[in-house]
Order: sequence, then structure tokens, then C-alpha cells
Amino acid sequence: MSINDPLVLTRPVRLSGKVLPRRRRGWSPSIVLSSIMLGLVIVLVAVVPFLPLYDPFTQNLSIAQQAPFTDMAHLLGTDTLGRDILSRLSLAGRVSLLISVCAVALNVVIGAILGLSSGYFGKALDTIVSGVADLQLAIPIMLLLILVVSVVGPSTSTLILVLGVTYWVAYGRTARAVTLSLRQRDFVLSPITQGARPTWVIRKHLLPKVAPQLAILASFDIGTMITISSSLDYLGLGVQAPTPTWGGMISEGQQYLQTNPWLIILPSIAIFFLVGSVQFLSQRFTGESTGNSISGGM
Amino acid sequence: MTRYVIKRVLRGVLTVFGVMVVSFFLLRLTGNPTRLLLSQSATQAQVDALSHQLGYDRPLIAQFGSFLVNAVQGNLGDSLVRHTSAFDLVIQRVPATFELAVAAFLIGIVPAFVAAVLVQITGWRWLRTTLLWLGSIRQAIPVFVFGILLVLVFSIGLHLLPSQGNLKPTALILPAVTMGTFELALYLRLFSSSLQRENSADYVRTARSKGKGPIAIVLSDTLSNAVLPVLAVAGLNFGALLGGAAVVEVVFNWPGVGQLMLTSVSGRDFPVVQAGLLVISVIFVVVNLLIDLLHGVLDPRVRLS
Repeated sequence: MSINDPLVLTRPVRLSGKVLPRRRRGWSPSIVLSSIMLGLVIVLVAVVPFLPLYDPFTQNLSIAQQAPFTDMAHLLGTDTLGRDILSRLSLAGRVSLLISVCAVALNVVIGAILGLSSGYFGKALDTIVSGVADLQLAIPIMLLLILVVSVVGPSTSTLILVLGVTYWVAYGRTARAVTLSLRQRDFVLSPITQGARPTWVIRKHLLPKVAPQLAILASFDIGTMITISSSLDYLGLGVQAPTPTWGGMISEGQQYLQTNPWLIILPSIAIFFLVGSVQFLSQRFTGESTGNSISGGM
Repeated sequence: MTRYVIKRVLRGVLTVFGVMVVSFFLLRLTGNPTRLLLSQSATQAQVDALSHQLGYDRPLIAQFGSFLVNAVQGNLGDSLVRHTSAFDLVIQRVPATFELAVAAFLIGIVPAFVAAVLVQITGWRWLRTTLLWLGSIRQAIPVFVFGILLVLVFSIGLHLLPSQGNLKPTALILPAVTMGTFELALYLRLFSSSLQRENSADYVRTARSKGKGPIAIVLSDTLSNAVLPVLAVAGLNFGALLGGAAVVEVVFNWPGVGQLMLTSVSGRDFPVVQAGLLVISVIFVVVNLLIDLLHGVLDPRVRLS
């Protein structure tokens, strides 16, 4: 197998939650590349807001649709209303990151609670949780999201909440599987025989084994969540104007595809850098580089 | 086999029922749905009158019962904008979405299949590595971004392919490629890992010891077994394609169910959105049921367990 083989780049993960030592040390080209990509995105969202000319909102039609690198005041050019694209990309990145990190966190918490308790208690609870999980997989989630947003109305908090409760199944299944594999082990049975409460056993003995597994899944899913939320932004169902979003910027720029492709290309690069770097980096930690715990992540 | 079929069909029916519960109660979560139907300035008296007319003042369970009875008969209410049956509006759009999903599905799975078999027969690891890298990079680009970039290159740059609608047969190419390539890496990994697993099985060793060549072993021994685990994933993914098609349909102005649902969202045409979700879910469940049954036919272990 060559060094670039994604199957080799990954490290095996034991069920105990411990990551086995890396077989190959050092920096492979893919790691260097994705670190650079991630670094650029971090600069975009963390440093750009402190630049002197940072202003994502002021419109100025006299300088609309400038190409990148023509004017030092607007390094990446201006959009159709003359707003500074670099500033807008930066603010959009912050919003995207906020939404995806919060949504993933919510999913992890829900999945961990449901998975741990259904694995621990079994019986009826397990049947119900598994049934709900099956049902959730059988609904085309994108269409469900469209339905929910159409009822509740689009906003940042709606987006976090809706995305935060629809993608927990992978975490739930992982937490349940790990719990089941440890349920009959001595370190779990011993406190139970000594009269420990279930919540204590779960928190002290099972959660520490489950958490690393979920963290690995979650790091990959941040990329997937950005993909999904920016798709919703593109469809006009996500964060609403005037707050800029990468998806929204692409949707605005689509009308000017023939005359000014920069309006599309710049936010596309931003999305690719963030999603790509997060996914490539997290693939290093996943046992299987398929990694895609969310089906239909588009 | 009969028991297996009955079990699968029951599970399918249960899933459809679940989808109906979800879509019915989602609407009720926001309170009285007449508020959604009427304009913001409607008076309380108008709301009450319409509630009574539509039966929204009856007990929730009774409402759910009549919703179920109507839904089974294909009656999901009328479109508020076009005043025709929401179900009919959706059904008219189904062929376009289905066509797109099938084409995208084939574009994802066929090259992955061919490449995995080729790698297994010839031992060309570079082919698998290259394709996996391309596939991984492709997965880092959201579908709508990739679609617009394809339009930029092939429609605007090279003037080769149409970018809008479904009037010309070539118009299918760009949207199908946009969706299908997203799944390429996934299928390639699945196929090659399951081919590899079969390759180390005892029956392959026996075949080899009898002097069978690698091509003959793949074609007549391992291939049929290696396809089985991919089947179940393929079913789920096909459903994701049906649902995810919404975004691609908007990018390419493809007249499918997703596009209809999205235009209905902006028009607050709620019954159409609900009908869209239900119809696509039923198709999804039926496709998965068929795949489950096929799985049972192909693999005795599945239907006997």
C-alpha cells in the first residue's frame, strides 16, 4: 500500500475507545495540505474581523462587483451591492462554524444519552430507541428539514435546533454498541452489585469509554454539517439576510455566473477548504475512512 | 421465505405510518394550522370559521384518524395556491425526480463496481488510490457548489451541455453527474473491502488450489457474494438521493418533487410540502422493501435468520 492510501492513513480504534498508536509517524502530504487549508479558514474567521477595513454590511453600488486583488481596500473584491467579499466570507464562516459546532454538539448529547441508556437498560427502552432510529433513517432528511423550516420559519436558532435533533442516530448507535460490549464486564457489574445507581455507573464507567468514539465521529460530522447547513442557506431556508452565509452568497452570485464567476468561486473555495480540511484531518483518526456517519449529507 | 416477506412488509408499513405521524404532528406542533393557511392579518373570527370548516377544532386523535384515512386514499388536501389536489401535483413530478435519482445512482455505483473488480483482477492499487482520493475531494464539495461549478465549465465555458430544465435528453447529464459522483468514493470503499474480504475466504483458496485463475475466481466465485453487503447500503443511499435531489433540482431547474416542495415553501403552500415528503418517503420505503426482498432471494442466510 502506498503512503497516500486513505486506508493506511487511518488509525485503528479499539472498542475500548483507546486509539491505537499510529503506525506511521510524521507528516503526510495530505495532512500538511489540510492543515494549511484549515489554517487559512481559521485566519479568515479569527483574524479578518480585526483588520481595519472589516465591514460586511455597508453597501456601495458605485464599486459593485469588483474583481479580487484589484483594490487594496477590498482585497477579494465586492459583491453585487458593493459589499466587501472578504469581510462577508469571514462573518459567514463564523456563523457556519457556530451552527455546525452547536448542532453537532446537540446531536452528540442526544445520541450519547439515548445510546447509553438503551444499551444499559435494554428491553423496552432499547426497542423504542432502535425503532425511532430506524424511522429516522427511513425519512429523507433533507425533505424533512424543508418541511420543518417551512412550518417553523427559517432562522439561526431554528437551524441549530432542527439540525441538532435530526442527526443523532449514528452517535446513538455507536454509544449503544460500545455500551453493549462493556455491559457484562466486571468493572461495570461490580459497582452494580454494590448498589451503585445506574446514572452513576453510566457516568463514571461507561461515558469515558463512549466519549472518544463519539468525538471521532463528531469531528468528521462538523464538515458534513457545514455542507448541509450551507445547502439550506443556498435554498433560502437557513440563516436569513442581512447575515451573510457561504451558501447564500453562492445563491446570490448564481445570476451573475456568466459575467462574474468570482462571486461563486470565492465562497466555494471557503466551503471546500473548511469541509475538506476537517474531513481529511478527521479521517486520520477514524478506523474506516468511509467516515460518513450521516447518510445523504448533501 | 413467507415469514421473511411478511416481516419486511410489516416493517415497511410501520415506517410509512411513522412518517405520517411525524408529518402530521409537526404541523400541529405550531398550534392551529389555520394560522399558517390564512394571512397574518386574519381576525380571530376568520380563524375560528376556517378551523371549524377544516375540522381543526375536533380532538387531535380524531383529526389524525381522518388524516390517515384520507392519506391512504391519496387525498392529502388541496394546494392552497393552485387549488388542485396536492397529491396529484406531487405525483406529476415524481418521474423527473426518479429519473434523476436513478441516473445519479448508476453514475455512482457502476464505475465503483467496475473499478473495484478491475483492481481485484489486475492488482492495480494506483487505480483504487487515485479514485479514492478524487472521491474524497469530491465529498468535500457540497452538491450545489459542484453543480454550479460544472455549469460554469461545461455550459458557460465550453457550451457543451444544457444547464437548465429537462427538455433535452442531454440535460440529464450534469445534474446526474453532480449527485452521482458524491457517492463514488463510498461505493468504491464498500465494494473493494467486501471483495477483499471474500478473497480471503476458504472457498477461494479451494478454487485457487484447483487451478482457477484470478479472473475466473472473481467473476464466478467472489463477485456475487461481495455484492450482497453493498445492497443494503445502496438502498439507504438511493433514498438519500431521492431526498437530496431537492438541492440539485433547484440548481439545474429540474422539475422534480424537491423543486416543487421548495417553491411551495416560499408560497406557504403547506399541503404540497407535506404531500411531497409523504410520497417520497413511501417510494423510499418501497425501494428498500424491494431491496430487502431481493437480498432475501439472493442470500438464504438472510431469509432464514
